[in-house]
Amino acid sequence: MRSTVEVRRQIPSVASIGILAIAFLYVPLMTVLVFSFNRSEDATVWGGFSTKWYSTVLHNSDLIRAAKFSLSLAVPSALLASLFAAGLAIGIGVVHSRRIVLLQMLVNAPLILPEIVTAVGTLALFSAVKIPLNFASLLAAHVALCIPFAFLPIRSRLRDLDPAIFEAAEDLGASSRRVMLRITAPLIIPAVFSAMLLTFIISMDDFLTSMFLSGPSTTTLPLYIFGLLKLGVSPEVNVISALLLVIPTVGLLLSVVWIRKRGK
Amino acid sequence: MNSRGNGSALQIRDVSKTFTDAKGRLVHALKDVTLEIAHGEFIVLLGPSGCGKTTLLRSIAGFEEIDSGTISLGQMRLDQMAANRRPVNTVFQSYALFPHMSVEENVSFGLECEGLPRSEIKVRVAEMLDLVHLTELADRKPNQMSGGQQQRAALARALAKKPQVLLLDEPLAALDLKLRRAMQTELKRIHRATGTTFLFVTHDQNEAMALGDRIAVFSQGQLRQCGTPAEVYENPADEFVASFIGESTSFTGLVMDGILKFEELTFPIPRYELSSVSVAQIVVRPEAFSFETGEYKCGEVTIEETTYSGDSIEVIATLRSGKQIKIQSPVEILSALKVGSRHDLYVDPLRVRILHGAVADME
Repeated sequence: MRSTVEVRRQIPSVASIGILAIAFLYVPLMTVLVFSFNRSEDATVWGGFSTKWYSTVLHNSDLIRAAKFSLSLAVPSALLASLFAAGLAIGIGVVHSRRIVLLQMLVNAPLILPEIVTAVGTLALFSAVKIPLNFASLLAAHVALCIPFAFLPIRSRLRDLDPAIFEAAEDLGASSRRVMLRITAPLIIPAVFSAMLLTFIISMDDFLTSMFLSGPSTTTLPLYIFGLLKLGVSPEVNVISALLLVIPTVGLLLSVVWIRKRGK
Repeated sequence: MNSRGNGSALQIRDVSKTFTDAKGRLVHALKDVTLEIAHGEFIVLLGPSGCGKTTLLRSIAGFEEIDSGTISLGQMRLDQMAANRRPVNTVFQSYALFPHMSVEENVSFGLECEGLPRSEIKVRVAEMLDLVHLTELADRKPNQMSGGQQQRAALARALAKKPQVLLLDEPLAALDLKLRRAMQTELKRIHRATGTTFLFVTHDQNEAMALGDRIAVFSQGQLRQCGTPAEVYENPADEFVASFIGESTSFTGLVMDGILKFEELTFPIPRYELSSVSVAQIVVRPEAFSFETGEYKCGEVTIEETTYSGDSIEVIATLRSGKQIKIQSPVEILSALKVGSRHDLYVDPLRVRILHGAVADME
């Protein structure tokens, strides 16, 4: 074992690597924030402070439509995926030891599979069985995409709970329905909310799946932004990106505070 | 469901249970266990980990299914019943309090399951909190309480249901020594106050001795002996019980004319009638030996090690063959007991025990 003194001596060099990593993560984000207040017509050349592109963006009806569409997709995707994932996580809890590993792998595998494979596969499936590409089919694809992400926090919450809690409830005379309503549900609710937030952002942000499965009437926000880029980098893109950065971050912070409070 | 007065005995008949372990081997968790527990009794299931005592408790609670045998409470067969319908309640080793509920809500949970009217629940919860001295902490969440307080809450929650039998699964294992002692006294008081049958599982023999009206000693899925603490200590049924409860040394040898010979030692065994020649196994507690004259002289031993423990000295002495004997001696003679020195060893003839199972008549 190394002494703490020895480890401490190395801290300055380790810390500088850490600072570099943070810079790597945040410099592009800061750039987009700064340039969203650019006056210039050119998105990449600084021409002084202005909020004019914000008002342009907020009056762009195509953009608003795409944003609304993304929201109308992300909200039910997050709800449905978290609901399925909660069922899955609760169900997996009663499975016996060795099969759990296999089941968990099955649920988690899509996380490491390239999304493009799932997207192409889903498109192939939809056209093979003649499912039209519309809101419902896109929603189904988003839900499938989100389930593994929603599963993670709920499963880990359930695994952290003392299994004797459920036995205790049964021991005290509770039916399985009562155990679910009074014990399981309240205990996993913070995790279900985390799952909803996570999957909401994943659905809002998704490009590949939407790209493959969108029809003429289903333009999501990321698809719209991509379309804008094809016409050259417009300053509007910076503003949209800045909004997409700030709104979820604030939402996330608020919800983390709320979950912390509840989880205690 | 009132357990006072009209309770019935818990009968465990020929209960067996096997399961397959991680390596695919068949393990006998319980092997033909038969045990009858009287109403209002405080019985302790004692044994090392993996001996089956917890499996038996969980089978009574309904968390494990038994392979064969019956568990019944008076005329009621328990083993066929769902866990949530059995008139028994459990105090878990981890307490298993519901973390999102206050103490009061934890205690009322079981009563709400019964569908009792609100007013009655309130009264019963208050009564239980008073019994375990937690009235002031009724609004606390489990994580705002100490281990001992959580323990009391778990006890109140289980007792609120007025169970016919209260099952306690090593409930004191997580507490420090001082708190454990205090809780033992508490448990005895609560047992007296409620008159409920207590079935208490532990691996700690001191705890078993302190608490149990009777102790049931388990090993490898089998019930080895069941008796009062004094019976189990003074008359152990076999070598396992003798070595698990208290210290002892066992000797196996030929018995002739009431004298057992073991290497260079002899032991008197007048309390038992044996045929003139037979083989017997005896056990002798450390405190039955002495280095002072006046009792029966066994022979000579060599002092190998002495450990001073305040009120006595624990001595390990050896025979020529290297066989070790545990002896307890008064502290006054500590200076005489030099390591390597030889001493006469005496024994109290009334405290030499023949193990029931080990007598083999050679005629």
